[in-house]
Amino acid sequence: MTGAETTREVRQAVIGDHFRRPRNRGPLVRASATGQADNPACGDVVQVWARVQDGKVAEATFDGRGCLLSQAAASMVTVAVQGKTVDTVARLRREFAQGLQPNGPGLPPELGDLRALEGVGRFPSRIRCAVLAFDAFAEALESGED
Amino acid sequence: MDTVAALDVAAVRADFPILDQRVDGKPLVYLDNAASSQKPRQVIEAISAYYMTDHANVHRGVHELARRATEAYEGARERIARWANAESADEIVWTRGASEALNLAAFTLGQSRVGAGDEIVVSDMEHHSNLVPWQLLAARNGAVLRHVELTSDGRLDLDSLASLLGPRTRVVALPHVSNALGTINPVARIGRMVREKSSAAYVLDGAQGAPHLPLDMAELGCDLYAFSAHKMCGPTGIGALWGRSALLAELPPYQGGGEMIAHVYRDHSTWTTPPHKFEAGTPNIAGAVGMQAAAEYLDDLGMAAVHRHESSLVGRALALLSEVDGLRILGPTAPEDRAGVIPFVVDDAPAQDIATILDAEGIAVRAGHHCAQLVLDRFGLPATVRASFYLYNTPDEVDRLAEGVRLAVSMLRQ
Repeated sequence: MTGAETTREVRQAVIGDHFRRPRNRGPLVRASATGQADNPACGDVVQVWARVQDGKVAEATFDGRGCLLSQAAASMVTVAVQGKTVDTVARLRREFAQGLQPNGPGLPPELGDLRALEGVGRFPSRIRCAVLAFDAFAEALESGED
Repeated sequence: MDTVAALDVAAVRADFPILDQRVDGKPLVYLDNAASSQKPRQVIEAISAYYMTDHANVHRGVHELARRATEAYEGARERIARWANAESADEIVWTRGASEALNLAAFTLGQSRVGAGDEIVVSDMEHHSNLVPWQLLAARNGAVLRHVELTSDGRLDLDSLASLLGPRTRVVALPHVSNALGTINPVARIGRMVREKSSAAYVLDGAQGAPHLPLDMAELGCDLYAFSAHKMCGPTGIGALWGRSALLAELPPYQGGGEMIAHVYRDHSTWTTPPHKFEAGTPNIAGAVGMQAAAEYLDDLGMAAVHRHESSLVGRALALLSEVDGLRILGPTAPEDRAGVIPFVVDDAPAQDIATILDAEGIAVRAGHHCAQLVLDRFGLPATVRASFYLYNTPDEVDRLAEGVRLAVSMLRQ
């Protein structure tokens, strides 16, 4: 097995794990921000909740339905944004979206398991599935600020 | 007695250069024909030859090239009329495709026949192209949209249709063949129901019917029939609206511009006769030439042979796919009731992910709502995978689809 194949298999395993054993799934009681994003073309829907305390994300959860990528990514995002400031979440969302583009700059370590989605750039029509939950979080947090 | 000659699929495939390629090292299996078909060399060469030797603007020109371009353009109209068994070329209005044809129908019927409180009957089976134009019209004119319901096996519920027809029904707009379910609708029977119970204009979305079934406009029993070239081996950007002569004469123009006028004055104009009344501006001449070549190609093979070939692929696909654990096929169960469209879902294996894994196997299918969200809402599904066949697909390709689906399902469930 080549190194590239190993990397691909590891990524697929991480994605599959988040899909089958989603982290932080279900509505969050006492959420200070909530948001929703959908992808009508494929039928993906993701709803997110966050509790922000002292300017940082103390808790984050999601619920939704749709493809493996959209639901696994949502699970990953709830982990990645824990403890991050609202500004940091906005920056990470930008870096995530840019890093997924074909020939993009790659994904920074701060994104954690979301880095398993790096290969999605090969399928431009699937990028939207991967960024859906992050978009919902960033927008929820931005609108929750005022 | 069986008089339909079998299709020589190897010879057909040799006419389609694009099919001879590999994707990720695997031979391409193109099963996205309901979205758009591939083009045979004959069509590509006809378009190329037109531009190489005959192009000029059509009509009015006195020079040689204008004459040739006009003959090519109007000759194509005659050939399409003959292919569709229409009475006359004057019944064929060129459009950009089925969508524009349906928009033309909705706009012009809206001007001449649909007022406040009038009713437009569509169904939950519509492609958005045969739904949204009527929604726009209803909003503009204060008309009411009524929806024919679907049976659990993906047919139009004719009792539901009968209950909707009445004196206020001005338009009945339905699909000949469903792009999302594959259902071949009993359109002639529906036409009789429409005429018995209303004086409505009967509009058919033929985008999925024309490429796959022998056409005879008189037998279909409709008043307007919309279809696209690109789904029937022709180029993109061209299609047609067939219309009954009397109705086309009644309808007002769709767009204004050159070509569609008789006399122009400072404050008003008068219109020329159909079909040119509906064709403002320089048309897609090369597109018409390409569509003619496509119709000739299909006629040479015989539409009955094309349909029979697809039916055998559908039968094979239904049998093989139904063996996959947790897989459910939408639409009618009998192969003869469906065109070459197989939509399916699999438990615990999201549609887009199946399509992505199939792509890595060189198999092109589509996943999503297929521009028919009402169909998915009806069955409570976010998305389906859709494999759709055409004249160049082979039994081996159906087998590869089934193998690919098994692989995808095992990967997604592990």
